[in-house]
Amino acid sequence: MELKTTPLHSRHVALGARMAAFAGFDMPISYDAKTGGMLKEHLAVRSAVGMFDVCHMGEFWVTGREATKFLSWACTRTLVGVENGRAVYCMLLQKDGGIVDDIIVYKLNDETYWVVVNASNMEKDFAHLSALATSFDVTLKNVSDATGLIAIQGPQAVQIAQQLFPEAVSLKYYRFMKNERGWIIARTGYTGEDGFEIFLPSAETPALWDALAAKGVMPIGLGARDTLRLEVGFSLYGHELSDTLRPSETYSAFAFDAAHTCHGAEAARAPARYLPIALIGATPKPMRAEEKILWNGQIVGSLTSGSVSPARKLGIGLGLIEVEKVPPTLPESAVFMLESGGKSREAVLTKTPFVSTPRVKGATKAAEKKFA
Amino acid sequence: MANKEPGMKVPEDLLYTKNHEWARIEDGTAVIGITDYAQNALGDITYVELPEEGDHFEIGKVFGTVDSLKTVAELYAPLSGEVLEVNAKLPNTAEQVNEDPYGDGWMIKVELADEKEIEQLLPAAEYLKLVSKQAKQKS
Repeated sequence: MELKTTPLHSRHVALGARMAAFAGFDMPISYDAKTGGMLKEHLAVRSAVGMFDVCHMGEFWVTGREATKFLSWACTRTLVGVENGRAVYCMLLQKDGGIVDDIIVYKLNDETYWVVVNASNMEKDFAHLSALATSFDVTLKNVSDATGLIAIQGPQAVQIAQQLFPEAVSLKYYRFMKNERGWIIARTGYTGEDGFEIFLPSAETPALWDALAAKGVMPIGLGARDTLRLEVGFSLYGHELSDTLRPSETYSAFAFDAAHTCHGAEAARAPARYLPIALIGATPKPMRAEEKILWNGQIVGSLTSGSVSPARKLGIGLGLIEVEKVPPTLPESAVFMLESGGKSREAVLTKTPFVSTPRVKGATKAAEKKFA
Repeated sequence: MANKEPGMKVPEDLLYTKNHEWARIEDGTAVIGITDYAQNALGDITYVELPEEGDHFEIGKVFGTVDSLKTVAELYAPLSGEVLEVNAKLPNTAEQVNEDPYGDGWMIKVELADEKEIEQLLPAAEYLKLVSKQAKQKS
C-alpha cells in the first residue's frame, strides 16, 4: 500500500526523523538527530513545549438545520444546550454498543460542527455518520485531506501562542475559536499538558510549523506522543478502545453519558465484560501491549498499551481483564503477573493518571470533571 | 573512530558480531557490550537484563535482553565462557548503553572457554562495512 504523507512530510525528512507507517501515513516516530530521541522529546513537552504533526487526523464538517439533533443521536453525549465554542469528547457507537471511534466534536453553533476523528478510522467514521445521517436534515463533508493540524503542547505553549496567535490565549480548556484566517484553534491536546491544537488549510501548515520552529519549539514524534498520553492514562483507539468493547469497559467510560439516548446506547448499557486496569512495574523494564496479565496463576487478560513512565522511571501499562476471572473487588495495590517470552514479572494495580499534570490531576474522577 | 555519523562509531581495538555485540579481548577474557550502531537503532534504552556471575554461555546463545522505549532486543554471546563479572550498575542506569556503549555501557566480562572462537568475530573494518551497508539499506 502506498503511504500517504502530511503537508509536513518534507520537514520531517529534512530533520532526519525516524519515519514509520501509522494509520496509512508515513509519520515521524522521533527526531533523534535533532532532539536526541523520544525520551528527550517527552521531557521537553513536560517541562517546556513541543509541536506535533497530527495532520493525519480526520476532520469533518457537519452542518444543517438538524446538525445538533443528528450529532446528539450519533454521539455518546448530547450537543443540545452545549455552548458554542465548546469541544466535547465523546464516542460513536455501533448498534451493538461497540465503539466505532472516540472523537472530539467542536460546536460552532447549533447548525455547524467540526468533528475530529482518529486517522485510522477516518473512512469508517465518515461512512458510519453518513449512514446515520440519512434521516436528518444535515450535510457531511470530509475535509481531512485539505486540513492540516499542529498540536503545541507543554507549559510554555501559552507563551508561544501569545507570539503567534494571541487571540487564542484567553481560551479555557476544551474551548476553541475560529480566528480571522479561518483557523480553528482549540485549547485541547493529548499529552495532559496545557496547549493548543490548530486546524488550518494544508497549504498553510508548513509556514506555521516553520514559525514554531523559529521560536525554538521542539518537534515531537509519535513515539513520545504515545508515552505522553499513556502516562496520563488517555485511551488510544485500536488499543484501549475497539469495536468489540463498550464504553463502560474502557478508561474513556466518562465519554459515555449512560442517561443519554443515542445510537448504540441501549446495548452499551449492558453489564461490563471487561475491566480496564492500570499497572505499574517494579523496574524500568517497559511493559508492552499484548503481554499476558495473570491473576493467581491464571491468564485473565492482556495489556492494551505499555511503556515506561519517564517521570516515574518504571514500566507502566493499561490492560483489559475479564471481569468473571477476577474477584468482584480487587484489593488496592493488587499484584498481577505479566508474562512474555516465557518470563514473568510483577505488576501492581494502580490508578490513572500515572503522573499528575496540569490538565490531569489525581485519579480518573478528576480527569472526568476536566473533560465535562 | 573517524566516522562521526550517529551510530557509526566502531573502535578499531574491538571485535564484533553480525548481531551488533562487541568484545574486548584481554588475557583470556572478553568484556562484552552492544555497539554504537545497536544502541542508536534501539533508541532510548530503559532496562537491561543481564546474567549472574558464574553463569555459562555458549557462543551465539542469548545471555540477556535490552529494552528500549521502542523495542526489546536479545543479547547473543559473541564467545563461549563463564561470566566473571557483570556491570551491576547497568539495570539502574540503562541509559549508559546509549551514552557510552563501549565504556560505562559494558555488560559482562567472560572467561573464554575456547580462544579459537575469536577467529569467528569480525574485525572493526569488516563490521563497519556491514553497518554502513545496513544503514544505507534503511535510508
